Amino acid sequence: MRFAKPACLGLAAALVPALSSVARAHVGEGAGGGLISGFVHPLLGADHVMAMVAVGLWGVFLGRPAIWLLPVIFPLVMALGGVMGMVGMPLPSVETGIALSAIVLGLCVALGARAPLWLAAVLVGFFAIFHGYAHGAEMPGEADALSFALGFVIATGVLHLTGILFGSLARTEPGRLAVRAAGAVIALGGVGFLTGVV
Amino acid sequence: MRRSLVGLAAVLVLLVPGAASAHGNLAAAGAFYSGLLHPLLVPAELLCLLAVGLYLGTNGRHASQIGVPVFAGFVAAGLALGGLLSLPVRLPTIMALAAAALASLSVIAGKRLPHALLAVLAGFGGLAIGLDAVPDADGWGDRLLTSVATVIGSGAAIVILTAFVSSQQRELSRIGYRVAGSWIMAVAILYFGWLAVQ
Repeated sequence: MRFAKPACLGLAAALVPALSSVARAHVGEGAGGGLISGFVHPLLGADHVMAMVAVGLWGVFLGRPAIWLLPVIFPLVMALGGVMGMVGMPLPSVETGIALSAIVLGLCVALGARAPLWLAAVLVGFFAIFHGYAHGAEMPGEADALSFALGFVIATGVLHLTGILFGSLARTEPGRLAVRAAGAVIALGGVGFLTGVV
Repeated sequence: MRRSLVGLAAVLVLLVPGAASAHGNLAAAGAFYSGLLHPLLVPAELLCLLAVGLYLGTNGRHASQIGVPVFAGFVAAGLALGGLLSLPVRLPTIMALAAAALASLSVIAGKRLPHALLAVLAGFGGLAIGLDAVPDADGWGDRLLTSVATVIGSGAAIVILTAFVSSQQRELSRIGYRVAGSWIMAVAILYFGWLAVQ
């Protein structure tokens, strides 16, 4: 049995987020800090997973340089958001911001929105603050903070790569439809998080 | 693009279990191997090593020829100084991450730097790793063996990394280096933020 290479990659990419728990972000934490705990932190929240994957998907739709610029901007701004969370700087409606990121980025993918690069960068950077804030607020207070940070930055990057891999299906028309459908699912998921249905 | 990004992710994910067990198994590895593996298994040192390697490699072969000996020399100097001085516990980690942040900033910006600046940053990174890796073994013989192994391990790692990076200068590879730089920078920002609230 033979599969087209893009299809296999797309399938593998789709399975990675599926492996994450359906539990929302920040539920079931407290298992201690460290690299593994930092790595699984973004993976255990479906709202985080969906938004991260959407960043990669949208980057593919926008093409170069957005395909690499967005995954470069996101972790840098996310880290600043993380610092805001650690120092306890007030940021209203963090969970709402995370849910909105899934809705907006998912819609951008679903509609194939061709935003200018600066606007895409500002949007992604804006939402990265909320994701970073949520992670930063839960950084361990012990000496393994560095490992925790390393873990969750790597996990975030891997989720972006997952989105880019899945987005590579968009080279063909059926694949393009599949990617847009994924964007719609992400947006709907965001609505579910926002309304508390999910 | 896809291949280089997947490769980058795979390398970083493979580092996860290694870094997670840093120090845990080092003592059992013996004086030589604990020194050899120390820069690869301690997160701050590994990030510094990766960032300086990317930084030297992306600045061209001539930069590597200057930077690598300076780096290795300063690792030795740091090991010697660290054995003589009594430094605050977190200072070497802070120095290593500061070097990593500066180097990765240059990688993200994609600008070639003057050779004097290259040497200073490579030396600073090497010094930080040396200070952080000062062996705590009993007896001067074991300490010397561990120190020599640390110089060999970090020197070999930086040679391999810079040789690889300077030989892979296609556009897609350079994008991968920038993404990796942004991850390293994000981890450094988070660590400094965490440090600020301690």
